[in-house]
Parts: sequence; structure tokens; C-alpha cells
Amino acid sequence: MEKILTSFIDVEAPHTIEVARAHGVYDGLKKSIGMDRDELIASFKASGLRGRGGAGFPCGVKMSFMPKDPSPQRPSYLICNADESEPGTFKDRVILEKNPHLLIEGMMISSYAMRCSCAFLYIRGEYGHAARVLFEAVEEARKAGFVGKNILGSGWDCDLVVHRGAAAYICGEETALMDSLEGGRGNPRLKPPFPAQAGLYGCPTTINNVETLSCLPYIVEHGPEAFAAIGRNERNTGPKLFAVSGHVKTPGVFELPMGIPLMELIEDVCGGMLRPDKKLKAVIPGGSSVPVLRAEECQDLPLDFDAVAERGSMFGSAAVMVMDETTDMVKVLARISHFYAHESCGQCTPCREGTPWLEKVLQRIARGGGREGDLALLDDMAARMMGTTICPLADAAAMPVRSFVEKFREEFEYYIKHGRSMVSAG
Amino acid sequence: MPTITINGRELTVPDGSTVLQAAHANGIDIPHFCYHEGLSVAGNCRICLVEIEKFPKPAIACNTVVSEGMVISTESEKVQDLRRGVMEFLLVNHPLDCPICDQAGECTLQQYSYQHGSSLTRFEEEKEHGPKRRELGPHVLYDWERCIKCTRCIRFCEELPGTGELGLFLRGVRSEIGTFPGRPLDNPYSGNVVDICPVGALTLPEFRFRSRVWFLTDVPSVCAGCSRGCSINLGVLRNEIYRITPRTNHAVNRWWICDEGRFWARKIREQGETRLQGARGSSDQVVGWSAALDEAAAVLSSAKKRRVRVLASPRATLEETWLLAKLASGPLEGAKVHLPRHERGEDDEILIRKDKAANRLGAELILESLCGGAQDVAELEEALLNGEVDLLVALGPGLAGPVDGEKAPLSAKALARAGQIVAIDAFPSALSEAASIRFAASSWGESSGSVINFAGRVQQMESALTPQGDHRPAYMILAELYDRLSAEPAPAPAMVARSISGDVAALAGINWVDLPASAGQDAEGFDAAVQACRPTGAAAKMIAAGWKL
Repeated sequence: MEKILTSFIDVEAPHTIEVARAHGVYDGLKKSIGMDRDELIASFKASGLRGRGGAGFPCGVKMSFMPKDPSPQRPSYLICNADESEPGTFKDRVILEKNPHLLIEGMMISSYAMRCSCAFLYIRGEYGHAARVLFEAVEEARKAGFVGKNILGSGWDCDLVVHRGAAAYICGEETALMDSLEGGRGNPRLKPPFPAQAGLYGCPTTINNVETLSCLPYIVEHGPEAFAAIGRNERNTGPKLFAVSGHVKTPGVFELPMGIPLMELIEDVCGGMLRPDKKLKAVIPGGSSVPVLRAEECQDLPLDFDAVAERGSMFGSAAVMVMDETTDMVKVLARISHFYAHESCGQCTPCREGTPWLEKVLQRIARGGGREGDLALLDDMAARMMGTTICPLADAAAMPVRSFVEKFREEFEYYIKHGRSMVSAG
Repeated sequence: MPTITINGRELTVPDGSTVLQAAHANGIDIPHFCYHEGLSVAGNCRICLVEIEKFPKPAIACNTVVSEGMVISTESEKVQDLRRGVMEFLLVNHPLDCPICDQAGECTLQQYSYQHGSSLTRFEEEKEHGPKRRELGPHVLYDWERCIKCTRCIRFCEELPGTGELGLFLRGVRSEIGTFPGRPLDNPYSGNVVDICPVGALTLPEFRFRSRVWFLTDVPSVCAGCSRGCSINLGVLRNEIYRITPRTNHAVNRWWICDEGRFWARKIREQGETRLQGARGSSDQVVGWSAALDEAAAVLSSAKKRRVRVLASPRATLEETWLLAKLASGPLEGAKVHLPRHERGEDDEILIRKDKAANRLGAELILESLCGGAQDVAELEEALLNGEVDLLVALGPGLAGPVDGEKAPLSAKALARAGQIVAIDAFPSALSEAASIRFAASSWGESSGSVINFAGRVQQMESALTPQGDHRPAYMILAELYDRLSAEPAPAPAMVARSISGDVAALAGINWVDLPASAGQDAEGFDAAVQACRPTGAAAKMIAAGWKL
């Protein structure tokens, strides 16, 4: 497959504007300026591009929620969500560090299509190097006339502001991100109102993932059909960055067509299992919050939004975590639960109180103090956390608990009965 | 006006109502912690989750606006299970120290635990621990372990006084309510956060550990601190006011009171030693109330009416002022009547008025109707200095509490030039010092009566305490004088109200019988004044939000 998002990241200094322009970056922006804005959005819809942040909402549809004639008093804003912080996810980092101009181009195309007067790029605090690259790249783009006043002589003004977060997972939630961007505590907001009605500073706002925005230049340049031709079917189109980690020979970020089979990704792209004599045990296909898959569920599984959902998990951010048979699933889950307990903002009762409770029970089991009834308690608690909070963090904490306990029940039961791991025992 | 269905009942509710407002307006209870009708919606406690047909998942009733045909279930199996779940989560790290918690007995957490929770816990881990006694400001203590992080207190400070001293710090289960460096919780309304705290996390140091709330009797009363006349409850036990809490009254103070009013009773208690006691005649030969009253009556009846002045008080009740006006227009006919001002600071946009008297409007109305109006005190001062006053009959400035260095309406020099002064007062002032005959009146909280606030709202207060010292309600003292000077006896206090309605046109329509139980009633012709009392700016927006229904 022709690489679209990472086509020239291996050359010398790919993050500079000279190299980027030599590889055709900003040609899409030039083409789009002057095009009819609604037609642009229609072409994004036609491309089938779905949000790469994890939810998979059609990008063009989201853009069409924005007002057609924003007033100067209530301007429209675009936010690029670069707060990539789901455990296992590190795909956006490649774009941010190696191909920042493609992202800037995508942001400006999107801003143009939605009549935005300012675009914000919110980058997670831990991405220091990427932030420095972006600060520089935005200045380069500004000098070249792609950002700022009178972009490419069109009379359209749109600034681009890069804002570094302070390293909180919750600030990747779109409305918490807005609070944080406004200078407040990052707490998810109640919906309604939705961001397109009242988002950043109470103004109409669309927020998109780094990878999603980076797909837009290709759609403008080559047409929605060319984009839709990549992928498994019309609901799962385009290229996709897969961040593979865990027990494979060559973990990393790989640009592949949407719908590549999971086993092909592991065997062919990543060189197979880290230790060939150890069998595959489980895969988390979309970041730590999604339900885990057992080895047998990984067979014949195309990696895209719909296929993974049909298999009972979620495609999420395509952060594929591979675990071989030496993995202690109880400890994995205890660690995942620690993460969500640590990152819960604390607003909603079920999440604030439930996430640390889950963690405490799991840590106790992992320490050998498991009791009869713990598994039923975990499952019941997780069930009561799901769908009862403002944002999906409680669901993110609950889903792995339910799936781990369901799918690897014997390991949990062994721990509770014997006070130690079944894996190390074997 | 959409028609909705709640638990099978079809209801037509106002546009823009939330599910919770619609339910509550129709007597259907939906539990809630973080929602407060006077504050913005936070939606964080999750106890108000309900099921709505066609909604993919349970929705919070406090932030879901009704729409035509909405079918809501607030008591389904699923909803009850969700509530049990939220209650269980809330109690996971809660210390369950109800036996020593001041909130016990009026705690929402207790109430819902009883109604919606389980008597067993499945939590067997170590609870989170945190500070139990952190001073947020001079009037408020914070107990982290009891706090359920509903953020009512934070929203209150942002939205009512607009001072925003409180914030949520840290994250997740370690979240805590706190203040910013160098900015303690110290605004004129800070005590309200204790009232709206649904649990025992915020407490008043002055009430902490002093009484179980169920031993207190709430006596409805009216604050005497300023001309707002906030509706309050006096929490009384063994003839002592333990605390003052706001009594919700949308026409006057909504859900709030200021800190000065909240600590009014404490001020009276703390300065109790200084209170005036007994009746004092002009010489040592006059001993006891009867003798002093006889002497005063004699002085009053023998004085040349043109050289008599009467000083009313905007701090006296309607009944007391009416009887004083009866004296002035009857036995003392011809005497000029004056009404002093007691002002301090400025009006704020919320509750506090610079006029520090609860019944100015009532006094003005009565004096206007019975005495042709009251004259300025400056004129009285001048007359005193010119030696034109043989007798001054006065209700003192300390009737409602200590005068605390307040500027006296009449100078000591002028008072010294009066021939004689007959004064009725509760706390000492320049006037009571200068009085030749002086009667100790009961103070605020010890007598009943009516007051009219600056906006024309008539309210009644009940006597909460039995007077302990040697003093009498001012009305009784005036009635004794009146009886001695007039052919007809003074009416009993309870009967005065009808006479007032007969004498004062603006009060003709007042339904006195219902007053104590209701939130008071507007005097006729004061609509404009009532309009004027509506706060502006941020507070008004907030009230509008609270008045959605």
C-alpha cells in the first residue's frame, strides 16, 4: 500500500517545511482554498473517514454540525486532540514528531472547511520533543503563509496555537481538554451542550484526532474515492496507524490499510511472537480500555471498527497489545486498574469511588489475599460503573475488568484459591 | 408546555423544565446530592439517574430537559439498582461516623442510605483517610473523609458572592475541597456552604459538637440585622439559640442568609452581661416596674405636649410602633414624632442592606397613617440643643441587639439638654445612659411581632426564648404606659394586627392569621418596591436559573 501518513518519515529531517513541501505537503491546502466549503465537507463524508481517536465517528458528519455562518462574537474553533494517552497508544507521536506539516495542513484544511478563525493543537505534557517540533513547524508554516493572516492570499485568517497539557489522561476527553485549554481544571463537561453548540470558550468547536486530520490532505488531493478504495469495506476506509507493543519481535507503529487481519499484523508485519516457543495468549486490540481477546478470538479478525466490535471488543485507537502465555493476566489487570484509579478526575461518584475500589480488590488478589466472592463483586461493581458517569472513563476502567475476569476466569480463581499465579506455577 | 409521563402519570410541565424539576413540582421525589435549585447544575453525584424511553443509557434527571412525549421511569428495578450502586460507592470511603457527626439527623447521605441503600457493605479494603478538621475560613471547617465532592460549596462561592474562594484540588478519590494560598473562605455569605453541604463535611465551629440537631426546635423568625429581613429558623434548645439557619423564602432571601445574621444570636449571647435590666425611675425612691411605670405615666401626662418629642425606632416591631404611635397621637397628641436611621456600609447586590433596621418601612407606614409622618432626627437634635424639649419618649437603638459602637442618632450633648427622657431599650446606648426613666426591654428572639422589609414584605416572628433577665417585651411596657394614660386598655399583642390593618391602608389586605406559617405577604402597593429588591447581575442570573419552575 502507498503510505499516506508516514510516506517520508525515514528521510533526513522530515519535520522541516522544506522536506515536507518537497514531498507534496501543503498541496492539498492550496487546492482546497477557494473550493466550496460544503463540497469539501461532503467529500470528507464520501471518503468514509472515521475518527481515529477511538470512537470512529464519521469525520465529515462531525464537521457538518458546525455553523455555516459563525459570527465574530461566537467564532468557530477547531481543536486537534494530541493528548494521546491511552496506555498502549503511541501512533500519533509519529506524525507529531516526524510529519508535523501534514498535520498542520490537515488542520488548516479542516479549519477552512468549517470556517474556523483559530485552531488549537492540544498536546500531552509528556510529549516534550513533539511539542518543540510543532512549535517550530507552526512558525515555519506561518512564515510560508499557510497559517495566520490572509492564508495563501485568500483573505481568510486562521491562527494555530499549540498548547501543552499538564499530563492528565482525562484531558484527552474532549470537553475536559477544552477546560484545560481554557486554563481550568480538566473535568469532562456535561452534555448537552455538545461541542459543536458550545465548546471551547462557549463557542462552536470541533475536536479531532491527529491521525484523522492528517488524512484530510490526501482526500483533497486524490479525491474521496481514492481514500475509500483503501481498507476493507466502505465503512472502514483509508490508511490506519497501528501501534503494536508487547510480545512481538518488532513492535512499533505501522501504517497499513484499515482491516488488516490481526494475525497478519502479528506474524508478518511484526515478525511473529517475541519468543517463538511461547504461544499467543491474549491481545488487547485498541488500547488498555477495550475488552481483551483470547488467542482463539484473534484468528481471522480484520482490524477495523466494525469487525473488532463484532468480536465483542473495540478497535479504539488501534493500540494492539500482544501477550504470550507467560503473561500473568491478574497482574496485567491490576496494573490497568491502577492506571484508571490514578487518572479518574473524581467528579462522578461511580468512577471516583469505583476505580480505586476495583484496584484495591485486584491488588489484594494479586498479593495472594483473594477471597471467595471477589470475582462476582468485581463484575457487579464494573457493571454499575458502566454508562453511569459524565464521560466514558468509568467504562474504560470497567470494560477490561469484566472481560479479563470473564475470559481468564481460571487464572483469577487460581489466584484466589492458591494465593499465587497459575502462570508462574506452570 | 410539553406533556410527559413519569411512572405512568401523565403530566404537563413548563417548557425548559428538567426532569428533576418536573418530578419535584409534581410530588415525585428523585434523590439528589449535587443539585441545588439555587445553583448551576454539576451533574456529578449520579444519584438522580433515571430511565427515559428511547435513551440509550440512564440519564441524570437534573440536566435532562423534558421534551414532548418523554416517558420517564424513576422507580424501575434498574433505577433502584443504580441508586443502590451509587449509594454503595458513596459509602465506600465514607467514615460512617454518624454518631459524632453534626449533620446526623439532617444528612442527605443518611436519608438516602435508609431509603435507597443497603444495610450491608461489600467493601473490605482499607478506607481512604484524610484531614478531619481543616479550616477553610473563620466560619467553616472541612472534613475530607465525609465529603462526597458534590461541589455545591464551590459553586455557591462562585455564583452567589462571586468570590470563588473554594476549588477542587487533586484528582480522583484524593480530590478535596480547598482554598487558594492566602485566600481563605471569608465572604459575607460563607456560612451558607455549611447549610447546603448535603453531608457533614462542612461544619460551623460555633455549632460543632454542641447539640444533636433533633433536639433543636426550629422557631420561624425574621433576622433583625438589616432591612432585608431574611426569613430564618432559630434552632432552640433549653432556652438557648444554638444556631440560625435560613428559611427558604423566594420573596425575601431565597435559600441564603449572610454571616452577620447567622451569628446574630451569638452576638446577643456574648454581650448578655451588658444588657439592661429592670425598670429604673428618676430617683432611688422609685423601686420596681409598677412604680417606675407610674412615674413615667405621670411625667407623660403632665408634660406640655408641644414640648414633648417621641423617638420611634425602625428596629421596633409593627405592634410596638403602632402602640407608640397611639400614645403619640392620643395622650401625647401634639408631640412631634421622629424616626432615626441606622446605616452602615452599602447595599450589596445579594441580600445585605445598608439600612440596619428590620422594620423601617413598617415604622414609616404606621407613623404616616397615625401621626402624619415622622420627622428627621436632625431636627430633634437641634430642638434638644436649643432646649426646646421638656420630655423625650424614646424606643432605643438597642432593641434588636447590641449597638456595637454604631453612630448614635442623637449626640450625648443634645440628650443632656432634654428635660426628661423616658426610654425603652434592651442594650445600652447613649440614649439609655441619658434616660431619667428607663425600662429594660426584651431583645430579639424573646418577643414576637411583625416587621415589614424594605420591599414591602410583611413577616411575623415567633418568640423563641423565654426572657430570663428582669426585662419585659417592649410592647408590654408600652401597653402598661398606655393603660395608665388612656381610657381604653391597649389591645393584647395578638389582637393588635387587626387594628393595624384598620389604621394603615397599605396593610388592609394582610392575612395575619397565615403569616407565621407562610413566607410572609406583600403589603399592597409595594409591587414596585418588591421589583426593586430583585438583585441584578450575577446573582440575578443565578436566581433566574433557580426560578425556572
